[in-house]
Amino acid sequence: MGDLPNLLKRLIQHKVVFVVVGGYAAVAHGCSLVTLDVDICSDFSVENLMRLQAALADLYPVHRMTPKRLPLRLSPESCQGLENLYLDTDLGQLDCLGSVLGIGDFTAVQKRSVPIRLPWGRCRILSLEALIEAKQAMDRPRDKEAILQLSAIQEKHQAPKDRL
Amino acid sequence: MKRIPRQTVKSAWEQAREYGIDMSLLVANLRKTPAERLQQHSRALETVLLLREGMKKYHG
Repeated sequence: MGDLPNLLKRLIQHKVVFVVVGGYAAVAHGCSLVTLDVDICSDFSVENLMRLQAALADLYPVHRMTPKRLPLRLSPESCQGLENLYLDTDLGQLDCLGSVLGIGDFTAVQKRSVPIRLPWGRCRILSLEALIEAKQAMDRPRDKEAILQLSAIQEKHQAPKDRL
Repeated sequence: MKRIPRQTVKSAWEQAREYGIDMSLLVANLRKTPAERLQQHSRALETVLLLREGMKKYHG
């Protein structure tokens, strides 16, 4: 439980089309916070959702928000109309979002993402600037520290090397 | 003529420091690659979960 890099590795290896958003993206940008889940914004096409299901197949994925924690059993028919998936797996929690508040749908999120290189391949994460915008749009008290950290990191990137 | 004092706008770095964030952790993180940051986070998360488990056992 809690092996989030392995969760990401599976998504990459199964060619799931996604962008890492939320707290895990903040960690990748340099935040010192600890998050318990991976949030991704993904393409909710049938093909992509079936790839997602294949990536998680042996991890006993369940719908975390349903009272009976129903197993993830997607079919081309049941994929229609899905907007978000809140999953729990043997490797940790994975939230799949169809859009990000303050940024927009998957296409908009993808446009404002940057590539990162990981030991198992490349994936995309929401850019620092867009992540700050998204966290500000959510306006949650618990995001205050993340916004402060991300803004400081952004400033550090923009400042000449001899300052700060 | 009276001089109007210039308002000082605090930098984001200063605001974070004043909020109580340990900026040395950010500096250390920024020296790492994103992959190294995620690996470090993974170790931290593992520790958090072990502590949680320990507290659960302690409190029953």
